[in-house]
Amino acid sequence: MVAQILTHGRFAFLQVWKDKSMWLKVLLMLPLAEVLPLLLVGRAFLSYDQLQAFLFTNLAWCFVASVIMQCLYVFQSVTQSAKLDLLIAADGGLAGWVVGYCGMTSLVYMASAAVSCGLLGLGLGYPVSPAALLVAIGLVVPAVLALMAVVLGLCLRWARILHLVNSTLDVLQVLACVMYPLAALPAILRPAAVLTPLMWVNQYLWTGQGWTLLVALGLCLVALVAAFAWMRRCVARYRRLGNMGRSR
Amino acid sequence: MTRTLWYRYRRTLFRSPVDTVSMFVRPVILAALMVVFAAFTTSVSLAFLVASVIIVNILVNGVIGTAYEVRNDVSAGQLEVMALAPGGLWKYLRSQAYVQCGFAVAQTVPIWLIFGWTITFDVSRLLDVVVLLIATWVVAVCLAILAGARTVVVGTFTLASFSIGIAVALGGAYYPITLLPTWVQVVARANPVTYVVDALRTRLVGVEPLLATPIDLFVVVGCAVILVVIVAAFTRGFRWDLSKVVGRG
Repeated sequence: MVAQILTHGRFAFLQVWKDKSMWLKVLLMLPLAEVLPLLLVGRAFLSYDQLQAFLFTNLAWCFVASVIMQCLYVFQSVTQSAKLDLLIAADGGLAGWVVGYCGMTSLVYMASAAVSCGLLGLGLGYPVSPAALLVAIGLVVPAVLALMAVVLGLCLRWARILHLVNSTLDVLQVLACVMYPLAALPAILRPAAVLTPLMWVNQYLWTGQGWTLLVALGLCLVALVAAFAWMRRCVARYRRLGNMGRSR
Repeated sequence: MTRTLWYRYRRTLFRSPVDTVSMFVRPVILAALMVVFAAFTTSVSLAFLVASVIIVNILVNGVIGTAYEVRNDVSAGQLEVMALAPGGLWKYLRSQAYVQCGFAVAQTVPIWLIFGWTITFDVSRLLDVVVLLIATWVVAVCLAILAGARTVVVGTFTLASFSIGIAVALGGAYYPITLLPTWVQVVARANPVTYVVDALRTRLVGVEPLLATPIDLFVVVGCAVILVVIVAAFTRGFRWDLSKVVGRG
């Protein structure tokens, strides 16, 4: 299983390394299009004390959203081709591929997000610490892996899910307290926010309280187990029925 | 043209219920995000951010929606069909732009219904608001047509999406540019989108405009007229060479 994960990871890295347009997308286009508006909002309306936490949470969110969307495109190309059956039959199965391929994609996006968003933050007057940036992004990796497994399961279940994933990310951005701490969220939304692993990571970034990080890690573990169980169930359904969701 | 518009309308709305619902839900979620942020920061009014979401939605979703639908049609191998149809590619692009920009305006209705209570604008400015809304829509349609044309040529809508995103972000999308670093202000003042967003927003929420009233109104109407002239010139002068269009099968 470990060997398969490393193989998939190496393949993912080589694919990204050779694709120059991918580097243009992750280093320039994504940060400018996705992160710049949010950083400008923070710069305009927040006090200097709040800027660092705001940068961390939005950087982490940029990483989450871009990795999930990139993996969604890859999942759709896999599920629409013969590669799906090949991956299911391979050693390690689909889980090994998700961890290896998507894990390596995460690492690439992590590095690029830290560099490009760090530079953007510097240019806008944010207090930037490169090491702290990487730590902030690294904290959300378990949650991202869980989300990837859920998205892959949704692909197998319903095939056409782009707008569903986009809408879910939008809702998650509100519940995960990306632009504000938990105390700012309306009381009616807090029960749902409390169940969100990403919210606890962001709460740690906002407040620096260590116990919130422990809660985040615990919830991420639960989310990982549940997400991969869901993915396995969707794979089993696909193998039983031989098709995905509705026909296109 | 009416039949074309109706076909595009039906195709977009009824292709997938999930797509259609999310098309109207996503702007509301963005408005909710901004409302919570406004409550947190207290240095900006709810009305300011809600008005910003409405205006940005018209500009951005109209352009991106057009480019996205054009990309889908191009990748489905329908380029020749569109080119040979009465009116050709330009008529197709115009119909796409009208429909998608119309949807972008319709997407703001739920925002008005749910968050409209935050905006109390002076009724004496109603005529200005109507004129500016129309001018903003015309700007969105023209940009959408140009974005669609670019998408036909390159086969992907990434550039269109990126361009409008940057133009709006550096155009004071959700913030007055006077609160930003100097270098951003310099870029924003050279960006026509800044004045389009600012003029309508100041009429809706009553904040200090970048340009004196009514100069800002004439600037926005002037931008709309210039874009219409550019699109008209393009429509007459540009000859499609489909043999060189990227992404054709």
